[in-house]
Amino acid sequence: MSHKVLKIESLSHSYTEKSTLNKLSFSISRGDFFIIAGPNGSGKTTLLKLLAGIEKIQRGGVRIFGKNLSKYSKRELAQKVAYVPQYIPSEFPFTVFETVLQGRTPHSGILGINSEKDIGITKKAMSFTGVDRHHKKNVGKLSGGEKQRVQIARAICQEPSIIFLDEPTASLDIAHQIKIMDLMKELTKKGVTVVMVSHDINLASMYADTILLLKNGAIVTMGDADSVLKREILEKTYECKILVDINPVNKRPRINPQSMI
Amino acid sequence: MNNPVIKNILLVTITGTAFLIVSIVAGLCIGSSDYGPHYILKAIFNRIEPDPNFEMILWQLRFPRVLLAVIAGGALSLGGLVFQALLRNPLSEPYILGISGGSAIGAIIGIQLGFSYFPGVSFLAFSGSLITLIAVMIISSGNNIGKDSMILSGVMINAFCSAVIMFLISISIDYKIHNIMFWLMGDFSSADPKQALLLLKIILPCFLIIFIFSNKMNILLSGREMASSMGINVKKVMIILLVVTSLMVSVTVCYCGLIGFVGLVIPHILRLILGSDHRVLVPASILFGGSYMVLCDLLSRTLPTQADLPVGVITAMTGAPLFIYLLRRVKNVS
Repeated sequence: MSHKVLKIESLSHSYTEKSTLNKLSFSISRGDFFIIAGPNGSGKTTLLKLLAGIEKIQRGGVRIFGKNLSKYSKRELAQKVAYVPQYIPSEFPFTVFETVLQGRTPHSGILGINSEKDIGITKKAMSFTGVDRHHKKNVGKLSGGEKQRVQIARAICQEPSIIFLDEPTASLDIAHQIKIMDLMKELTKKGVTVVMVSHDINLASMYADTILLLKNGAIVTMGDADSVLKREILEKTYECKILVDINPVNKRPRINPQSMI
Repeated sequence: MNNPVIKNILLVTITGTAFLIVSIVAGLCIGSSDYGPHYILKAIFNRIEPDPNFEMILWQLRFPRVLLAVIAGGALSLGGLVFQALLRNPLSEPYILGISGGSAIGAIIGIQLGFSYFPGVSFLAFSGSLITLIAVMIISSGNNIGKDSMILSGVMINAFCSAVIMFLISISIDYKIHNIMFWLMGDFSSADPKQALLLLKIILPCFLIIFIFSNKMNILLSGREMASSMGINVKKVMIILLVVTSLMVSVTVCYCGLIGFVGLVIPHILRLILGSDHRVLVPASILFGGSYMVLCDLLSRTLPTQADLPVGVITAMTGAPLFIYLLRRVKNVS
């Protein structure tokens, strides 16, 4: 597990004059469930987009499997890395099957004509995420949780070694949140590295192997749940009163924000 | 090969071609000097010795006209389809976005400077379309600009273009002013075979390029970030498609004038029937768009009016109500 799939060296980024990320350096191991947390505006999504190769790197370096991110062609990168954005437009009616199948794009020819093998992988991804019974439905007509699972199925269909997700549980009820997180945990057991931005520190505590706490574009701390989710660290980062106790079932830290009045 | 996508592409190409052939035959056979389809089919297949008058009407008048209608219909429908995909707005269409208007300004300037249709007038029309396209993109690229605003800015650009066109006409002492007015509403009556073939030569490669990028358009519908993460060079694909489409639309405007709403009607109906896969929609738009235009032109020639009716009148009469319907639907969704 010590094999590093992602190595980030003094990565900086700024929109206009304000710097959003300031000289970040860390690395992520293979099969890690890696969660990036932090207050609003701390630069989480920007960091995720930079790592996924969607935003152009301004200063510093990102190495994926030892190779500099900028040396990858778009297609080559897409064969190794998948990205699930927070919001995906669905004005145009694609079916679930068509959407998931699109994940094969980086592996197929210019017109994207798919082979039997592609279709097999698509079916497997749909049953893994539990959306196979909807395969003929329009994605636009599904519920939020189902839509999210279709997007994850598409990412899995890409057969990536690393999956980046931007707050995949943000608009879901707790049952669907757990479903998504369980799916990602299973993926990490298969050796896929999962890098996720999440606002939900309790979910992070339950699932993450490593948590990166970000504030004002700098790393506050990074490590496993026990070392990161401490009261004094969290209170300083989020600037509010927080009580941390231990979840009696899984023995992980449990975060309870306190009212200020 | 029993791949479902290839099967669908073949199926839609075969039905579309059959439909197109029927429309073309109808377009050739029916007209004010009525020889009857029986006579015409016999004449085409050399079964009888046709009279020279008839030869003239068929090959010099109707054939180029029908050919021009096929090309224009295909190009404008496909133009609508591409704009809808790239701007992710089902209401986009070259005419509604003002891109046809921009081409028309360029074309009129070219005509008044006395340039020939190709390359002079066509080049100016192409420049005009690119300028309006860039204007629409800049206006609609702001963060909080919604889908309606993009259409609204298109309508304003269109209004501005119309005003400039009227101004250009008014300052010219052109004795053919009636012709220009007619051309503005879309017209195939001035078609000659040479022009039609030249247009075909420019537009066929455009069709091919757009078809090659059809799968990338599918992915672009999921947003730029998603497409980029799937290995697509979003900027390159967008620029190629927008330039090729503008070229296609502007050259069509040069030869046929302003014909609106075709790019709205055809892709919308096809999407309802065939779904959203652009690998299927691109050939379908070309073939069914071509047929639709031939039939609209046929209608404009044969309706009992005092004079010839511009085909743009027919397409606008059918397209504008559909646009309003779509606008209401899009608003309900968002």
